[in-house]
Amino acid sequence: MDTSTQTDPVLNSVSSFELFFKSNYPAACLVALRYLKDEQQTEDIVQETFMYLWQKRAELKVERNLKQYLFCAVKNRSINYLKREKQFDQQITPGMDNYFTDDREADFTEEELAARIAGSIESLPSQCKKIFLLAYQENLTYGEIASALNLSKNTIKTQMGIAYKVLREKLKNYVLTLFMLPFRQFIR
Amino acid sequence: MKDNDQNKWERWASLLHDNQSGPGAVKPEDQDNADFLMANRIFSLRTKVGRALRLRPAEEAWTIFKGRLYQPKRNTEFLKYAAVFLISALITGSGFWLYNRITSDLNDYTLISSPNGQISNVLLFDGTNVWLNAGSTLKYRRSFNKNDRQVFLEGEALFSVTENAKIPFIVQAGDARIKVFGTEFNVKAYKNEAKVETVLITGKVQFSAGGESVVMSAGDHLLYSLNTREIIKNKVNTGEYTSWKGGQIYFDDESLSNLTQLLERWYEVKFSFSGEHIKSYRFSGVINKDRSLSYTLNIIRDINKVEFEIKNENILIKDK
Repeated sequence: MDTSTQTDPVLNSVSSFELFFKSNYPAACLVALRYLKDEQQTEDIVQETFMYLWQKRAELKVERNLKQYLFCAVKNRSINYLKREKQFDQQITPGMDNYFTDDREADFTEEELAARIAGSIESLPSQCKKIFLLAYQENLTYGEIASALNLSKNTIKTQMGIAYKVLREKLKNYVLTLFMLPFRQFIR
Repeated sequence: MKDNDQNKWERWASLLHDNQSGPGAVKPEDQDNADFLMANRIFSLRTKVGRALRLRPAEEAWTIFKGRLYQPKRNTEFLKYAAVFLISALITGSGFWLYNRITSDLNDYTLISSPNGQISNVLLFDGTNVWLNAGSTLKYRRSFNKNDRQVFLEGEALFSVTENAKIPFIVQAGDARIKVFGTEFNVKAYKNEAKVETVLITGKVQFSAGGESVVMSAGDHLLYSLNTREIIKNKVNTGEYTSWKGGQIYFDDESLSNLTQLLERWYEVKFSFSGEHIKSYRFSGVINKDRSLSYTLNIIRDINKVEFEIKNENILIKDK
C-alpha cells in the first residue's frame, strides 16, 4: 500500500544513481536556467542538488517520483540563490515573487523535452546536424545555408526534412511516457 | 508512400525555417496531425534546446560529481559566494594554501600555489577558471586584465578562459607560450619533466615554442620537448587529460618513473628504485586520488610485480 514512501531504488547503488544523474542532468540544468543567467552557477546548483539527494538518501522519503523531486529541488535552490543575491543587487523585478510560487512552475516537461531534443540532435549524421543547427539555432534561411556551405538549396531542404523526421522518431517513445505520467498518477 | 512521408517533413521544415513558402502552405489536415504538432514543439523549444546544447556533457558532469562523492564533507557555502577571487582545496586535509606577495615593484606578481597533495580551483579576475594540479604554481602581474592577461605556469593546470577579443589570454610555461581566444585547455609543464604538454578541449589556441608556432583545434594534444625543441601534434580523448581535476587520473602505458613523480606530488612521499631497469616498467590504469597511498601501491604492485619497502616518507621499489 505504502510503496510511494519507500526509498527510491535509484538511491540504492552508485551505478543506478549514475544512470539517474546522466539522464536528468541536462533537464535539471535547464530548470535552473529558467531563473539564472550564469551557466557556471547553474551547473554548481545542479551538482549540489544531486549531492544532496545522494547524501540524504537514507532519510529521503520521496513521494511520487524522484525526478520530479530533483527538478523541484533545483528550482527552489535557484530561487533561494536569487533571493540571497537580491540583498546585494536589485536583479529581481517586482512581482517576480509571485512568479516563483506559481504552481504551473512545477511542470518540467518542456525542460525534459528540450534536453531530449538536444541529445537527439547530437546523434544526427554530421552534415545533417550542421545544416539543421544553422537553421534551428542560427536562424539562417535555406538560401543563406546553401551559400554558406556551398550546397544546393534542394539539398538543404532534403536534409532538413530528414532531420525533423529522425528527431521525431527518436522522441516518439519518450513523448509517450512523458504524457502518460499524469494518467498513471491519476489511476493510482 | 515513403516519398510522401519524406515530402511531408520537408514541407513542414520549410514552413518553420524558410518563410519563402509563403502563407497558406499549412494544409487543413496538418492541423491535427501528431507529427506536425511535434515538429512545431521541436521548433518552439529552440531557445531551451540551444541552452542544453551549450551545457557541459552529462558524462563530464558525472565525472566531476563522482570526484566529489568520496570526499569528506566540507563547507561549500564559501565557495558559492566568494567574490572575485577564490581558491579551494578540493582534496581533504590541511585546508588551502595561498599567498599574495605584494611589493611596491611595477612587476608585482600574485602567486598561487597548489602544494603537493592538493588540487586547487582558482577564479581569476577576468572570470577565467583555473584548476591547478598538485605541486603547481601560477603567477600573474597585478596589472592582469588591464593591458594583458598573461599568466606564468609551472606544473599542470586546466584553464577555462573567458572570452575577450581585445585582450588575449597568454600562458607562459617555460619558453613555451600559449595564446588563447576564449577556450578550455589543459597545460602540463612540470619543471622536473623536460616537456610541455597541452590538450585543447574546446576553442582555438596558438602554441609557440622554440621559434615554432602551431594552431591547435579541439581534441588536439601537443607535446613540446625541451630537449629536442620539437613540437608533436596528435588527436586524443581529452577526458583522460582533464580527469585529474576530479581527483582521478588515467595512465596509458606510462613508465613507472613518470608515475612515481606524480604520486610524489599527490601523496607527499619520495620514491627510489633498487635498479634502473625498474624505472621503465609500464603501467596502464586509473588511479583515484581519494584512495589511500597503500591502496594505490597495491594496484601498482599487482600489475608490475614489484615490491615496496616503506620507511616513513621514503619508499623503495624493488623486484618481487
